[in-house]
Amino acid sequence: MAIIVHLDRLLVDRKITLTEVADRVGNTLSNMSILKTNKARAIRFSTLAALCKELDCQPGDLLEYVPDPVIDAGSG
Amino acid sequence: MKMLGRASISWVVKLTLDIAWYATLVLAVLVAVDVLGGVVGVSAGRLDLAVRFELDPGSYRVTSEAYGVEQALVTDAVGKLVFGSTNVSLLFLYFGVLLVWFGAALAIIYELRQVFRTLVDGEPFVRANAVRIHLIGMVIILMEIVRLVILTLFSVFVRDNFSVEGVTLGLAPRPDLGVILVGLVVLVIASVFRQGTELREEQELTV
Repeated sequence: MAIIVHLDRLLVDRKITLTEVADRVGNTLSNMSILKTNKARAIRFSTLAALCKELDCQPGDLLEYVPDPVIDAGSG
Repeated sequence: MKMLGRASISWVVKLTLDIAWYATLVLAVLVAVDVLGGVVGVSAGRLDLAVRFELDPGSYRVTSEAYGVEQALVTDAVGKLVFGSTNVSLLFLYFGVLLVWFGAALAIIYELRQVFRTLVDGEPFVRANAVRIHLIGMVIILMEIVRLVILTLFSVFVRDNFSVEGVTLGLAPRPDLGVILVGLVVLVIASVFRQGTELREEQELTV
């Protein structure tokens, strides 16, 4: 996965639970769990905006781009 | 009337397929017993071969007074040649053909039952359905090719071993392009199901 979601880290920093944040952003707990465990394929701008508002952060605090490792088959 | 879910057209089709599944199984067993009876020598094994034939216009005069037709041709007729035999190798060959035939029919009915089960449950876009429908399409196309090969062998066998005065038996079979087209349409539907499944999964994992 090239995009990593740091929801777990932000929850620890803000000292709130996943259930609480799900309630505050008006989304389901299962959806928040999908996001937290990096299983999500896409995130709506409305969800991102609501999370940023409730967690008092920027999209860049929540999401990080990590390049996929390049496997060099010809080396050695 | 609704198409998907309980008490829907899908449910009626699923019920019909369930009945067809068991009926085909029973029929397969009955036919196998009929043929294997000849192999073990209990009775003459019953063979039922599809044949194409035409009537010799010299022997049979087909006319119509009302429309002033002096000689019409009876050609490209399709019928069945049913006979009993105690020839073990012939019966084994016929049994092998039946196995392939009933096997394909049962495979298609089984996969259709599984597909319609998901339609009754209201969950049509699952990955397994795309695989099942693709398999059905492949079997339909493959069986048309197998049918042509088998009927060609039948026609050679009938032509070489049976004769009726004034009738030309064992004409070569014709490919049924409609069946091939149905198979291709089913393959396309399978890929539509695959895309539908991907969209559904995408939607489920969008938060």
